[in-house]
Amino acid sequence: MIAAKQEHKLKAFLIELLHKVWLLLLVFFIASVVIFTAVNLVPGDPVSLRLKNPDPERVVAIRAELGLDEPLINQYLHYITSFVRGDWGDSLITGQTVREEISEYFPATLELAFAALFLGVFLGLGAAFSAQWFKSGLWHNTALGLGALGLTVPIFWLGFLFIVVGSLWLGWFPSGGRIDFTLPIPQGSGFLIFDSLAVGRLDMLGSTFQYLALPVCCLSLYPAALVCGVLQARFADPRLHTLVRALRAKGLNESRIWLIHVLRLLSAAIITVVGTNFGALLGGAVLTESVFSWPGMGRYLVEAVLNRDLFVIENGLLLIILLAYFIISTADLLAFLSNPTVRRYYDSTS
Amino acid sequence: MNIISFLNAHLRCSPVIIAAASQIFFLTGCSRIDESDTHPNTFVFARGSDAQKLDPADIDDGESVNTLAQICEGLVRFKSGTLDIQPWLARSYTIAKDGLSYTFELREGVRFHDGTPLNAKTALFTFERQLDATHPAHFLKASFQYWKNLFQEIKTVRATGPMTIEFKLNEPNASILYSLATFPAWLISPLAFESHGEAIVRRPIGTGPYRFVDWKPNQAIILEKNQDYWGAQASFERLVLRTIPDNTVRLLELKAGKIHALDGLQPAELVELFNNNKYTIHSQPGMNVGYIAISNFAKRLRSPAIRRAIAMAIDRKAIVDLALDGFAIVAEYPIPPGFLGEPDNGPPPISHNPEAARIILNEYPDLLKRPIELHTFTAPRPYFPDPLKIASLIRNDLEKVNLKVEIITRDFKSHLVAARRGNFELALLGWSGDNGDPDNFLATFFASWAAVEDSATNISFYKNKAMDKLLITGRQQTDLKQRQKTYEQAMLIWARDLPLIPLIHTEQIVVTRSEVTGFQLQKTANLFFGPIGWQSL
Amino acid sequence: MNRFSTIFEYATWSALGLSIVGLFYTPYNPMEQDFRNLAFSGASFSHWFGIDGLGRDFGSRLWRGAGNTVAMALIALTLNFIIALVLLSIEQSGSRLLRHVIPLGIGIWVAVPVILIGLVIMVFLKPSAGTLIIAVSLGNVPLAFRQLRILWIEQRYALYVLATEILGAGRCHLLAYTLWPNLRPDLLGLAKLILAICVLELSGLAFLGLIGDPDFPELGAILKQNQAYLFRNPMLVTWPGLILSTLLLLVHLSKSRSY
Repeated sequence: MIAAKQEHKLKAFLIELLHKVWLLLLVFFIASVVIFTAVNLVPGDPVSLRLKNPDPERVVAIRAELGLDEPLINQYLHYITSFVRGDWGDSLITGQTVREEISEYFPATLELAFAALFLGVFLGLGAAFSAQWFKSGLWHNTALGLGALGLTVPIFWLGFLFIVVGSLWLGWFPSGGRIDFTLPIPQGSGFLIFDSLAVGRLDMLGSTFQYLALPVCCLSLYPAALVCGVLQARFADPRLHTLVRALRAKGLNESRIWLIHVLRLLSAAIITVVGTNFGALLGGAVLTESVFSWPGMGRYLVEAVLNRDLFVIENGLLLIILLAYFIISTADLLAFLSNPTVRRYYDSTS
Repeated sequence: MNIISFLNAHLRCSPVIIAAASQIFFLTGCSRIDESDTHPNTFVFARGSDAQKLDPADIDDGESVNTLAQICEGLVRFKSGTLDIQPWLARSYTIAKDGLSYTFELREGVRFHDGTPLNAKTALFTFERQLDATHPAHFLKASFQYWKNLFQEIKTVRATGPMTIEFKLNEPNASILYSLATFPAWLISPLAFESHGEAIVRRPIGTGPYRFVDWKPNQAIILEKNQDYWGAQASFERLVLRTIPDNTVRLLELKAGKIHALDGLQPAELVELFNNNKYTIHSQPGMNVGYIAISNFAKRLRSPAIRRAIAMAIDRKAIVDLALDGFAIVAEYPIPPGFLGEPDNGPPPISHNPEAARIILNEYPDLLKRPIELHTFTAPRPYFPDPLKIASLIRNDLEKVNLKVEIITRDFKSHLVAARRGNFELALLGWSGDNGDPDNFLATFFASWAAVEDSATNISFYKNKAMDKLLITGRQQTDLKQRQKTYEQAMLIWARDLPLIPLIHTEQIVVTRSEVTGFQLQKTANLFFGPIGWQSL
Repeated sequence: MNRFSTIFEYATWSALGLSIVGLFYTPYNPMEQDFRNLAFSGASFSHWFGIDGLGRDFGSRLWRGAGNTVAMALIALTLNFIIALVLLSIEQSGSRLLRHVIPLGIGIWVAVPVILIGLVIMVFLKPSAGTLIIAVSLGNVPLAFRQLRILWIEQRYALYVLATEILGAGRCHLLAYTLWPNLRPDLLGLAKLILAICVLELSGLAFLGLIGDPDFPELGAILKQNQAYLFRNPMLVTWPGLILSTLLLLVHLSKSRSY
């Protein structure tokens, strides 16, 4: 009977997975059409907009390459096929291929976003649990304050405060950038934490954390507030307390009840809220990268938009939207795994 | 109370402790940043944008030039801190009497970073690839704009001996020698092209005191000491040129001791470094001019009286004080002070007189019908560290004389595109001189051959036969007194027609730690880190 | 918290109202650089917040800035609600296909960060206050749509509504007298949430430099304009952020139900 249940669960999971893949394709299609339209609406000749020094021979070559004399639908097909192929053109400003640049910036943003997510969930958990156990008093209010803080303080201002306090007054942290250039730079995946561990150099690892510290703390307040809010809502549910009382009666000790059973129940909610708002986290990452000069996709895209660097915009924006969607789908699937009664996020009530 | 309840009571705090402990992860690497280094191994310099390419023949931005300034060298160079020529990779040179032929004897024993010896054959590569459009290294993607600007007169270049090369010109041009000291004429290795092809635009091989190691785009360019340098060895094992776009962060990095020098700060941010002994502010008048161009296609602003009124309305001293914190001087002429051609008697042609401006403008009520467009850009440039503030100040000044102004802001490239077509009424732009010659400014601004749509440097599209004639004459004359007279006349024509209102000459500012020795600002705004050293305070 | 919520409610309305007043009246003209010779001077009797770097009265700029921020956010909120309501009514009264497609579309839309939507729009539109408003209102449509949908479904099919219908109430009566009074508090709460989000996102986009005019007084834009003065005169950077945080905190604290 258990085997049948497992099989049923697997089947449901596969259906969900297929559904997510279908949605991903849909997102790819819609996003690419929207971006293609936006890029084509830019006033000005599309060729000279993509070239630094538009001299006649180059103009002809690029026109042919982009197929600008062909009907729009062909241009669109050309755009998505070269995107899928990985042929993303050249950046207007630096002249490097967009692919090379993105492979440098992408891991940086991911490292920042996931580190902030990790820290944020921890902080949110800590805050919610503290507010729960200390029913009143300093801890309780601090925890609730954290919730308010994460949603109301503008990240770009907070970033400056962090820089002034952490870098200028205390001198503990650098005020921007990602790598200490006086140390050799670990190569590899682009995720400095793993690369420096792989090479086995603790000074590089330490330096990585030092540079990560301020931006991550700044960005983590948002997921912390989200997690804290969701957990507070769940803690207000009397059914949870009934369960806790039952487990207590069963003889389990406090920490086991809260940290294992309750947390497992709530994990679906946490994953869902964090996953659904990953898009907003990416938005926050864009602002954080601007303030801390973090060399990531966010800053890269903002500069591309401000400088009308069309190849970068076309491919970079599409990539990051796909990433956002991929993360949300994964979070949904994970939540589904831990609690199949959780409905699809676009139907959910929270 | 037994142990279990004791633990229970304390384990309540465990999630909080876990949360706090996770914070410590981020502090593992933290240490009080050491601010007193004894001769650091690596010298770190930070600037506001990254280099764009490292091909000396195909760049036009200061960051690329300053990166190559450590890696490449030219046949001649400007003596440090001046605009006088001294032989460099060429140990001597001769100029023919008719000014149509320049011969250079190359220095012995110089090698490029990849081991290629410097001789006539290898030296020719740099020039042939720019001169000859069929040369394999004459990249399609490149524009070689500077060759067209500065070296148009060169007809041929060839080797007349194993260590001798000769340039032949179509017409005499007194400034060619000076142009050969500038970056398009810096030598690069032909062997590098044979091995790497087009990749040499990102991996330059020159003869300079530092060699290229790595380029992390938008983060840093890493150079290391050239152990086989023919001249005085550099003092640092490594040189890192970092990109930190945010001015505030760059300044903080300097204070935190993570970088040793920087440039491109807005003057407002320098104010608090003035009295700090730890830092030395190097500043000197820059060889540049920031100006407002008035487009010839703007019919409303054709009248010289209106142009004069606009010029008189602008308080350029306020721009110097508020937007540049005093690190600039008011520009009276389109050429920097001290240049050949600067009239040395008589009052400056434009004075600040808003009342007079208002009176003049009262006679042109049509101007009030639509706001005047003032086009500006966002990125800081050497002549305008903060173009938005300057646009803001100008708008306010013009509003005080009853004009309405609309500021149109774009990124720098789009701004250039609009400017190069004359698609504006008023546009902010500037120019940094390359070789110390007035022709480098005046032909750029006023020559009708520089008014070609889409590549114009004469963005006012000003075309005047008399001016053209004077510019050509001045270019070909060799006698200084004659040139002075020629250019003075050009200035008179400019003052009458006012296609361009000069605003400021911005000072060049570099801030270094006070331990840095031997650093000198150059008139060309190139930064040379070969000669610098470190002396503990 | 309940005890204080009415106080916070009043405080919020006053703060928002006071900000809007800044659009019509400020002690000095926030755009005129009349005090160039006094630039960077600190607080004084005639200039409570001092003078900024270009000679403008800083207090007036802050006031006008708060007014612009709040006004832009209110316009974005209105647009947002209108679009969401239109979509909702289409979905509710439309065919089966639409009922399937629209939530799906919304589900996709919600994944995209508002800042990226702003960036996409900025690609072809000129950077200006209007563009930012459009970007922010469009970006938050999914959130408004979903919450409105939940509210509507909860209330529309509630027993008391059905009862009123059976008693013979017409559509208009139903809407105006039965549903609206019950929806109002929740709608207000949702509006406050979205207002807070719009304020944050608008000032974030303005901070990135996407507002066009370099002198536009908006709190995020003012922060960017004064960034260079962080060390010289830190109050020029502190005040805009402080005002922004205070506004947001008040809005957040006055919400009667958390979402």
